[in-house]
Amino acid sequence: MTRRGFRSTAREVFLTSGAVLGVLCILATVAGVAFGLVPLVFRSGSMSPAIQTGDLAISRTVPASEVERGDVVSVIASTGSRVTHRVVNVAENGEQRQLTLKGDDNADPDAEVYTVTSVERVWFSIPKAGYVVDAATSPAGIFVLGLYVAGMLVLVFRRRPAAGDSGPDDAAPSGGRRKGARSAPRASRSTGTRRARRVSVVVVVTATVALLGTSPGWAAAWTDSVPFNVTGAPATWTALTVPAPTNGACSSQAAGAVISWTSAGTGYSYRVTVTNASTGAEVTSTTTTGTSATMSTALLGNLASTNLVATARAYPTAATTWLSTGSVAQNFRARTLGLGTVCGHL
Amino acid sequence: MSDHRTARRPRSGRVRAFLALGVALGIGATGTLAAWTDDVAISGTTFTSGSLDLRVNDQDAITAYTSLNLSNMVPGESVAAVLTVKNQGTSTLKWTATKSTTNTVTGKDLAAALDVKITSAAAISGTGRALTCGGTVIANSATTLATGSNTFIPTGRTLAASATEPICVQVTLNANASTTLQSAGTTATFTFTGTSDLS
Repeated sequence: MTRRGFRSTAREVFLTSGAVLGVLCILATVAGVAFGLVPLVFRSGSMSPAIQTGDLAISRTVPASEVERGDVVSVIASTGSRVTHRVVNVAENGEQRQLTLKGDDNADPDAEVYTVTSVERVWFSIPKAGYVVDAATSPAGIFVLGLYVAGMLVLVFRRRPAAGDSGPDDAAPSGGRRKGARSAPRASRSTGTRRARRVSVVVVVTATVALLGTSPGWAAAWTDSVPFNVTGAPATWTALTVPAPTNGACSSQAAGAVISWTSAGTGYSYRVTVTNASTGAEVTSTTTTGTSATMSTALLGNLASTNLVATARAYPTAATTWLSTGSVAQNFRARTLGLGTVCGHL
Repeated sequence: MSDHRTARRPRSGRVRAFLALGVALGIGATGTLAAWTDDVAISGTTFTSGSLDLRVNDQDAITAYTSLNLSNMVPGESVAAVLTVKNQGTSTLKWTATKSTTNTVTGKDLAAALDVKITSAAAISGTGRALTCGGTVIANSATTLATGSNTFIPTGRTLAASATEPICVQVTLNANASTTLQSAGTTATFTFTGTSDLS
């Protein structure tokens, strides 16, 4: 095979395979647009082993009502990132569906329950194709793609080679080799070729500049991750129920009526409130850390003869407002002015 | 006719070259179609392989944690415990935590009187019924166990693979808690969530 023959064959193979691939791509793109297909690139392995990092999944947008348990669907989480996980529970809510999703490789379902009206349901996945998409849409990939496009444009718009010639190098600019005197069309074609070349140059330069400037953000919908929970058991706090003092008693002593009770426990103090037995009005109150209180004149002042009630409640010494609900109450009375107090009512 | 000869020359490759442009259409469409479905601005792309596994106290689920419990609390008393959050996976993650509290005695809102303080301390301070957390309070973390908010540690905290982060949680019955809260009870569940730290 001659060198020209080899190059010619290589060109043929390149062109033919490019054309086949191109047709496939066109069909796939048309089908994708027609059927609402969305490519998803998996950036993490939460769905492995079914779908692994770098895989490209083809998904189709479907109404939420068609989603069933076991489907792999893609939703946008509240954080704005895309999550593609398997449906483990579907709750109906009119048109909407509340989806609980879980990555196959995750121990727990996602923390967020996604409310959706439509989702992208994964149809099939192509192993490792995500890396190809990533490479192709990187600046370098886009540059190569631009060169490829420009090259193909040159082939499309270049002057048609003469019969029997197939190598690109044979595209002699003179055009004089064509048989027959079709001068008018030839002239027009020649002008067209020059224009096409100019266009090609502009396309190459423009595409290169424009695509090099394209940010790497020109990317497919990277599938995010994997929320999962560690759940603490119910931690429990209870507030104290302040115990009441018990066994109230009253003893008449020289200093006056002595009210006593049994301790509610260590750490408690007691508040003794004295009220008028007939009106219920509070006369005075006192606190003690002990288990008795003397109803002395010093405490009560000089009262006329009155029936009184002493009520003792416990409280934690550290929390003076937390009085026990239960109490002990003892009746006593003030005697006439200056004579102090004595147990019992008149 | 000269037209025949033109038509019989498929080897010029013009048609095939044109069809080959479809590759660019396909790749472009894959990128742009998908981009339309994604609101997230992506700058730079990283692939993350491996697993994501967040653990607290080296467990995937804790069902019987008691160190934060405190019964018969009176105003001013506090309890504290250190939890260790760990990234057991192979890639960097961000974690957050939420809480869910329930009052167990009808009509007594003890949760609202339970103050919480979350710090980065690796050990608790104090003794008895006055355990506390020292150190720096974690940004934006909760200050109460009140029901109605699930805020606990809302701002994502980055944790590299195999790394651990201690958090100290202190629960205090507010010193001004009403005496009507006697006998009340509150339970809480904390949920720690790890998300792979992409984009």
